[in-house]
Amino acid sequence: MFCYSRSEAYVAHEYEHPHFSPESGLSAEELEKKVRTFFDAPAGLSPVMQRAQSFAVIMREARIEVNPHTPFADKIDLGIRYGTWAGPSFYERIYVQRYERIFSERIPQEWKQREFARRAGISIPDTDFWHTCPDWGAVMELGIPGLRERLVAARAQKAASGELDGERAEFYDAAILCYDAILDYMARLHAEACRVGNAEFAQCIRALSEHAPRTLYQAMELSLFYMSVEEIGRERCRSLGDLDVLYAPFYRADLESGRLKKEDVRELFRFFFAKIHAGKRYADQPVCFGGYDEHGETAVSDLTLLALETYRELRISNPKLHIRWNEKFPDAALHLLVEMMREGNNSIVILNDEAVMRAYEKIGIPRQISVRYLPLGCYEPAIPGYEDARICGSWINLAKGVELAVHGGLDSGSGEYFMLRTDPAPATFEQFYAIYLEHLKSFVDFTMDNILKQVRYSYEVNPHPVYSATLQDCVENGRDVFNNGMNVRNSSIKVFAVASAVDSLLAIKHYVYEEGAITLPALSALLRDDWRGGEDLRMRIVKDARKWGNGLPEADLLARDIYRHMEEWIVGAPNGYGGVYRMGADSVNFSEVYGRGTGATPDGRRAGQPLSTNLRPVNGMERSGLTAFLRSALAIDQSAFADGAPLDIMLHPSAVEGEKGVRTLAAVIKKYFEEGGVSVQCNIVGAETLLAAQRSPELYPDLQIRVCGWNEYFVNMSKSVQQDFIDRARGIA
Amino acid sequence: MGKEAAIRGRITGIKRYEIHDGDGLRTTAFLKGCPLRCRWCHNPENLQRGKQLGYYAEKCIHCGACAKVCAKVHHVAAGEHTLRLDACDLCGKCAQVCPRGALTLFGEDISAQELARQLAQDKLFYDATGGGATLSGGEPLMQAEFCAQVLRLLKEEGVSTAVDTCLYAPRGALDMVLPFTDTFLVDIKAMDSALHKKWTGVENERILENILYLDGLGKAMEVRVPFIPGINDREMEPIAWFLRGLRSLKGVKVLAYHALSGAKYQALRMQYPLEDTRLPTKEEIALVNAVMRGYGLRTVEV
Repeated sequence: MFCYSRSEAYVAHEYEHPHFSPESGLSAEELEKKVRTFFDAPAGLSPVMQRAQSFAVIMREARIEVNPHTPFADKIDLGIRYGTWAGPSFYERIYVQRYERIFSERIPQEWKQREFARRAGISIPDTDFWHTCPDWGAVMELGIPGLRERLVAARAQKAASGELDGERAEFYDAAILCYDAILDYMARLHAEACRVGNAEFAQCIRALSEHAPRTLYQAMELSLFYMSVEEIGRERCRSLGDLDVLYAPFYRADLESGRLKKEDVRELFRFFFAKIHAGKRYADQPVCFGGYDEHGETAVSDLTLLALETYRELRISNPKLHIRWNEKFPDAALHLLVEMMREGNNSIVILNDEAVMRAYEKIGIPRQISVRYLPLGCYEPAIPGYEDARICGSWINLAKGVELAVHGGLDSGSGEYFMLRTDPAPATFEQFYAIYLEHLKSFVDFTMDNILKQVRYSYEVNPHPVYSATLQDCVENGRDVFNNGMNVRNSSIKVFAVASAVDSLLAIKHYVYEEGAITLPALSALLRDDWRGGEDLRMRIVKDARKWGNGLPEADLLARDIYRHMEEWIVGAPNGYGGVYRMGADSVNFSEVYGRGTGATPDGRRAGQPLSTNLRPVNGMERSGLTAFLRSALAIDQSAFADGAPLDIMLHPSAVEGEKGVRTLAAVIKKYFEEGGVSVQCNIVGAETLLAAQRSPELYPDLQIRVCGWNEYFVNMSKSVQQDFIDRARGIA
Repeated sequence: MGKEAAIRGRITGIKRYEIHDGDGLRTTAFLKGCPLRCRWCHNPENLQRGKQLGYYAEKCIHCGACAKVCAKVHHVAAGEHTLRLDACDLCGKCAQVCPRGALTLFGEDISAQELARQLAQDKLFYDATGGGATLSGGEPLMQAEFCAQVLRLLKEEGVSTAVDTCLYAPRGALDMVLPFTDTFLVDIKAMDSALHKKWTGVENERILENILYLDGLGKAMEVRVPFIPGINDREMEPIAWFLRGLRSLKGVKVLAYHALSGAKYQALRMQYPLEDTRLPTKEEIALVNAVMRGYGLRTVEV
């Protein structure tokens, strides 16, 4: 057995400072050269065979490393550079370039429009190859050899029934080739493990190359191993699954047989989490706990608590935790999570099972199926093995609609019209609002149309036989997941910047239509001039109390109405390739990205400044405290958000002081969920701490802030982003 | 609207998500005006009954927005902002236009009905946490009639209520709020009346009598004891001794003196009276809590 405290140093930086064995294969440069030959001169290979053959070369010829100091020892050399996060491998770059090349060639018009919409901060329609959702249940049940055998059996069965057409045969052959290559990679790892004297890992990887996992250690290694091979390309395993459910049988069997004691399990989790932390996956690696077990009881067990306590003790933020809460979730576990958040371990999102399942019902997926959902990426539910969810189809900017409506359809950045020309001087606010909605509808139409055009080429751009082989539908249908292999093929659109939009609409309502302080055309001119000469009015608007997020009925009703319309247009709308649209409400970092393309807005925001994030008030406008904000968020019908809707709680440490502070926040979160809230995450930090960290970054290297669905080190943020968080923290002091 | 509900009171603000002002989650309204002048007061904006213009010099960017709306009071030139407060009629327009919050008008008049409405909004979360609304200050009982109406309306909505008071109030004022108050949060600063007068400006007999009066009625009370090194250290045992005889005391909370209110004093052009007082250590606070518990009292940590 390895001892974590002795090995810690070898694990912590193993990705940044790897020790690939030169004898084990080609250097990253040599490998890239060889792999590129498949793409530069394709020699009549189909995209899926191109993928499989190049993948096989990597598996069989890349340099590898087996770390002698850890049970989770495998690594493969793809020339990745590690900064804050892991940079792209050459193979990933190949697929990114291919993606851009194929789309710009095949759909030049749509691709140009998309570029316009991206720059203008309207929407960035995407096929989303990135967020994958392998069927972890199948991976654990079958193991690598079992996944391969399932492919072989399905191929034979299709051949016997006469359904094995060319495309299917090619898919099976490609996938089987991939799994053969993975098995070869495992054999190489085994040999290397023997060479460096890591007998434990050698045994484990051999076992996994021969059968499905039988012990907890093997199951955990399979999670990490499968992720590492699936992520050879552009795609990312955006969750390692509901670990307490997946690992429960192995854990029990190990304890019962005496193979492991609880302390051994803790030790395994230390290595497991530390390896994920060291891997620096972009936007942090999610793992899930909680939810229901197969009997409909809470999945939270002593295994869950043991894993959470171990995670807490390591004081790391990666992996990030997705917690599925429901009415059976034990209070003790919720209190533990709140305590962790209070300690600054804010890489935790809590999702409300009931709200997620209700949202799934809206798109026709019943509870007995959605109960198996898994949060992916930042906050987005998807049902592994059932649904191809494409959780990030696009982000639509609600504030941009106001900008276009004010300027009669003109995008102030480019000086061009997007989809519509509209009346620049409507007589009433109601008319203005109707025009605003027209623009939003045009964003939705544009986004859906553009996604559909892209989807047609997704198999050509990005086939993924390794991932597809975990999905029973794909195996049965003989089709890649990016070639409509799943029976349920949904798409998702996020709709964000609600606070910026509502505050802007209210400013127009009051200052243009009620008070008459300015006409709409004059406001349009002022905004195009970025408020120059209108500072007095801008200041009045900024200071005006009528802002979303403060529990004000006028603002809350408007937000509710906007989302109601978006729901009507998006939720359950057919996507044109076998499924429907789901809607989400998070912004990731698009509040900044889209903000740059969004001109000055009537809420007093200047051109290029960030927009409101997630379901949050505009920075500095959360003036009435957390409970008022929660009421505003609950005024939106959150059952529309099958694609997630995060609520950011920011509290000063004094508000969660003592046992009472923990109990109170836990009760408030539960109440928020009982009233229909979908998910929450917390930043518990005082402005004084942030200011001190800004002044003396060297003293606060570990201070982290929840940004969107991931954390960032505060000292690494730009000064302006730091300032935003300081302002927010001041607002809650 | 009933005539009573139309009564107006003066507040300086409402704070939501508060866990220190009574059971569960609270929303606290701060009422303006106080008969005491505790030297360690951390809410100096609530001392005077009248409205006051606060000016935070360090936040001022000398933009002159205030001078544009009110040249009588504000004069901004060459990076200097001078205020002629004797000419100020406390209309608050300058605070409305100040972009950085350097100017603040302390004091807002509000009807009992409106305040009760705002305090009742969080009932959802009070019920989930065993919390409620708290009237604090300043000294709320200086506006007893107004408080009584707010509290009555809250009780009608089923909201649990607390009043945070120094109890330096006529019995009549206390009687007005009694029927609508679930819990009193009461301060005891010192048992020695002369010492009390020295540091708070008033003697403590009336306060202690009111505590005994509430106790006699069986009204739930939480007593708060500020601990200020060098000022009332020696009062802790006598206070504990006094409290041990009370039967409706729910708990004692020792409040560690802090000096975070300096900016507000400056904004109000007031001298902070305890410049040189040191902060209590964690150990001291733990010790005082232990003393209280030694007398059989239940201490409340948060």
